[in-house]
Amino acid sequence: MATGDVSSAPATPSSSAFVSPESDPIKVTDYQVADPQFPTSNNQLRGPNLHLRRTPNKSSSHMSRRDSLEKLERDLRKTSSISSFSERKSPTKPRSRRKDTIENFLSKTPIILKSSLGQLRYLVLVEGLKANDQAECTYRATVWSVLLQVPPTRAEDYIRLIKLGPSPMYGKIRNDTFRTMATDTVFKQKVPEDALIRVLNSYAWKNEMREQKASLEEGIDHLQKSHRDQYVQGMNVLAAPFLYVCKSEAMAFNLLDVMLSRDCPLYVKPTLEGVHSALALIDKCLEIIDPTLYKYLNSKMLKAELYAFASVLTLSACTPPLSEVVVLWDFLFAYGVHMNVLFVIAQVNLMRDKLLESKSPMSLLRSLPPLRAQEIIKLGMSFVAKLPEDLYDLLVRHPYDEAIYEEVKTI
Amino acid sequence: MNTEYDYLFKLLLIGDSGVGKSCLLLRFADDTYTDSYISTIGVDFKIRTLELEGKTVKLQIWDTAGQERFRTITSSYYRGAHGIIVVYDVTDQDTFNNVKTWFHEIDRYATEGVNKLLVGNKSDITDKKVVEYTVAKEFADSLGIPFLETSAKNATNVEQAFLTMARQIKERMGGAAENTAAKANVNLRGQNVSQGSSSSCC
Repeated sequence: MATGDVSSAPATPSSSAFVSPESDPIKVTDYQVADPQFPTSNNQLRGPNLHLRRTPNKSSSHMSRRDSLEKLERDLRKTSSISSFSERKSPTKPRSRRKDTIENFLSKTPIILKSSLGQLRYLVLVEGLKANDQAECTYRATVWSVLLQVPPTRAEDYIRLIKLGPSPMYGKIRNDTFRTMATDTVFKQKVPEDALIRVLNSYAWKNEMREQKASLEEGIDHLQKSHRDQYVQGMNVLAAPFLYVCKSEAMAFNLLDVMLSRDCPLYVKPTLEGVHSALALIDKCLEIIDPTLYKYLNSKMLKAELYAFASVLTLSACTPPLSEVVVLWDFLFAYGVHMNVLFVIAQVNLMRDKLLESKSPMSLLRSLPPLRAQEIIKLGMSFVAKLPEDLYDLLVRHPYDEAIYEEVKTI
Repeated sequence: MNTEYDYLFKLLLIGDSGVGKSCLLLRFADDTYTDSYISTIGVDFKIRTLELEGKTVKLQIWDTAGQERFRTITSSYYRGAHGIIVVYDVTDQDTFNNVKTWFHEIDRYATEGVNKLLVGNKSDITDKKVVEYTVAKEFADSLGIPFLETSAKNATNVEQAFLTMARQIKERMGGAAENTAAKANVNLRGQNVSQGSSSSCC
């Protein structure tokens, strides 16, 4: 696996794009040229493996169960012929400090892609990504792109989207970007608002094109369709951690694009049906996991729709601190974004005593307490074993499988 | 009966994204003004209890996300509301132009006779003001609803806005409300629930 930047694209626009917040961030012309040495179509990572996301996602459901682990092993062996991550030495980065386990693992060429992915997932779980003195992990972007199986791409595709200029969503995007993690000074220093605008605007364009293409294939005139918003409030919060972690804007865009369009498309559909499924699942799962708390909240008419909407839509990124959000996301990318539903329940469960004592629990739930990723992950995982198989199956599929929407509504 | 309050009124804040609905809520409920971490996603609410003409009135104020896409969700909160405050930004003409659309939403989803109030927020930013007081006042008068310009930032008129609303609802409800309508145990979506009053929301 690649050691250095997984994104080949030094796509960070020249600083001129960032000098004035008032200037139009869309008009970016002065880009560095992508590294010509680097392969552009790393298809080994795509192709046959793309479907793999589902299997491990599902198998994560039974992480605590031996049979499923064995099934995962079998699945992994089936495609054992694929060995691929081309190694890329990073000559420009002399490392003085010792590499940790995950870093070492990343620097080796995997013999069997799928089992290596499985190993990486396991390492994320048991070792975790190590932070440096500045409370940052230097290789997190690499881990995310490997887990999400987003191959390195040239910056050109992204630049092309930027050259399209403001999308129909531009105004709405700008209305939210300045109030994205607005009180997090580290984030504000690290991620210019312009970068956030460009990434979201590019996503709006790309999604528009994707839908046009789909309409053409279905034989429907795209223009006949009612205009669809390609930006929903909350996407800004989803884009923020990617920009915070990734070393280039193009890479952040690619990871966001793949995650939204492949892993949780129903969360950002105009009807937000995936979010509604998730909220119904939270109510149902909480009833099973913590009946006392469920009954109490229910007696106050506090359904997940009221307290969990933002946490669901933003995969918990709406709750600071960002340093903990990224740790939660390590896990979500390793085992599937559906686990966020259980993480939201874990966050509520961690407040259990206070909630049960409180006469007005909603005042406590209005904004959840600062994230404590490790505790939330541990607790969230422990819930898996308590859920019946069929419910867990719905949980796994709700972010991407339209077929289950009606089923979820009736649980 | 719950002795904590004589009336429970549910208010709803609606209006375009970014006009300052959450800031108005925060100013009124907590008397603070802070930059928010993120914009409102879905719905949010806060409570404030106040004395009005010798009665204790509990206001449950709902704050909604402004983006159209959330309207399928937010519209379901119209029905249980006793009063709806439509907010625009005095420095942004578009948000005032859209006020009409918001009143249409009220006609569509809210209970008939619901009290309404028009609020032009960000009145402290005088140098960027584009919506004239007289224009908005004329519009509000034509609909027969009260109008106020507010600033959540410096607290101008915020208290008055919510008090105007509460007073109006109280008048409309009359004495009857005290033990029935406004005090009945209604859940957040306006459906009556037959549980003890102690189980009312929040």
